[in-house]
Amino acid sequence: MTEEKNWHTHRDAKNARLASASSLLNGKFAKTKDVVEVLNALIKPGDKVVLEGDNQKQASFLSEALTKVDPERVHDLHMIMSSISRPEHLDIFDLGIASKMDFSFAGPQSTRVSQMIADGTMTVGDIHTYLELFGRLFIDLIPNVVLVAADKVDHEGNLYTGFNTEETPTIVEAAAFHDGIVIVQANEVVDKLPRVDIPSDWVDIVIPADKPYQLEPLFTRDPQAITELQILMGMMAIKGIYAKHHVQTLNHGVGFNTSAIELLLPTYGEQLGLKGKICRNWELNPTPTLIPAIESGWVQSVHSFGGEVGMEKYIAARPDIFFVGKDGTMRSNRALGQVAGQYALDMFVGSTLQIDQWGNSSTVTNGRLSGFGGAPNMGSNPTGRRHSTPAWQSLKPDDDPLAKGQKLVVQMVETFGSNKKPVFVDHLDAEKVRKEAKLANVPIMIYSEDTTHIVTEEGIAYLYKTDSMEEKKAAIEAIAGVTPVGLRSNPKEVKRLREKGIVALPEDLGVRREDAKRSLLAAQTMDDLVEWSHGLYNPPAKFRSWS
Amino acid sequence: MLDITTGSDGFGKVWQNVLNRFFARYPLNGKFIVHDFGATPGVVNLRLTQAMEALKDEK
Repeated sequence: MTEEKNWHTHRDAKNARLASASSLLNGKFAKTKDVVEVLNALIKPGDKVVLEGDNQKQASFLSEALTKVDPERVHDLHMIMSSISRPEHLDIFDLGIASKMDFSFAGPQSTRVSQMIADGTMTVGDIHTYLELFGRLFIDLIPNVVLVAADKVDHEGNLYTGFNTEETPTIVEAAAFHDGIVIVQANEVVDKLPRVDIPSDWVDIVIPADKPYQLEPLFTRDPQAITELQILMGMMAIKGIYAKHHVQTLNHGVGFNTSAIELLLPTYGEQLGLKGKICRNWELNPTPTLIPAIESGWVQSVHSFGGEVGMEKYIAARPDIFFVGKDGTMRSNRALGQVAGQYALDMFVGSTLQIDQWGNSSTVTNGRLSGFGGAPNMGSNPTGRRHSTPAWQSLKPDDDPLAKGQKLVVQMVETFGSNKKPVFVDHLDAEKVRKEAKLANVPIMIYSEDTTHIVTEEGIAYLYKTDSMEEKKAAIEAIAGVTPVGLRSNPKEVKRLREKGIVALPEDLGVRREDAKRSLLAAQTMDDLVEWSHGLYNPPAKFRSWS
Repeated sequence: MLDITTGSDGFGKVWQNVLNRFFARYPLNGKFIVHDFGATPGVVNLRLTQAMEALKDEK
């Protein structure tokens, strides 16, 4: 008789690992001071390890501990991270603990990531958009160990992740149901949680942290820094895109351009009579600059990928708007927010560092491998979408009976960056970076075929209306100002494009540059935002201009 | 008549282009003085067009 195949090798391996750490554990709980020994015992060479590494929330206690493991026992780890944010995330490569990385975003560490790839310290599997990376956790990047952060844990090991839940449930699920090991750092141990976000059955190890996990207010923009140019572009976008296409559901990529639009709704938007007609339902991190629009009755709902430091009390007081649990505190969810961003929104508006002559855009520039975050997902047309809304339908081509609508994907850029280099270029730096970083494809964030509109300080190019790549290039040139790309444009071509409605200058939209004043913003300072929130918004220290 | 003061090296050509574009689109006679405090071309164009709108209103 042939031997039965062992179909539970993963379960056996997990039990063996947990058994080897049993002297360090009291039920699921380990002592704070034993964190390094726990990691030494439970992580094996070559493991796939997810380290949180979210956009805002960082499992900083665990990441610091990971740098202290014994490289003889724990090495060649394959790290899987949404966001490479902290120095330790890369120190583990220098220390010989990790060798491979699959990730989505590297903003704060983009330069060092580039250097480490160049000198061979780190091998990159690939760069992803968030939702794509989450998907692979269940397919071919199934983790052996996940290192995550929670706010509170009870004595059974149930977790409260609250306001900053982000992608924790998704990461934990991938490990919990395929014999991975779930290790959680918790800010505090309590008798009773406000609510259960992740049940204890999904959790293997809980380690009380020595201090709260790191949290960054990434989406807060001080209105004082918004410029007249951004206000002009915001006015054009509201009139020439939001109103024209009847945009009801949307996401704003983080930045000053979109913050300006949020602050123009209660004023300029009101002047245009648009309240109730646009911008009703949002997928958006709870940006403080949306407060005036919420208070003025523009907003019906906001679901968030993550939290935003300082907004906790305001959100708890507005449960009709935000996604707030029975306990009164918000829950965020990046995976579901990204699903909504793909299929359930009329429009994505974002910004970028470079746009090429064909309309492809990237934030990956020479020496900085910044990755993508959520933008490729938010900024792409979901061909699987089937439901129709006025905005989506308004992009349907006239000439094809089997055609359908399209998501509005808008890129807002000034023609020159603050470093005075042209944003519009003939070839993206990303083309060179592909070779240097040994990537399979050019790291483009949003492709030309998905980009429906570009807004610059010169005007709007309605790219979805062009009927050829030649015409698309001409439309881009028409609003690319005096960049080398823009200098190819000639007055005759601009006139033709304006007559066809493919290009609109401010005067074509009835937008006066004189009106682009800071006084048009519903709030001009952080103090104004606090006032709009009836004192509920609590700006983080670095945004306070008063003591 | 045109007077440009710029702190940025080698940016003279860019300012020339900004102004060529502006005057091609909005033919105007007048005395223009531009002090570049590190502004981008977009900002300079904004100021010129804002001035132009103000002039149009006065007519």
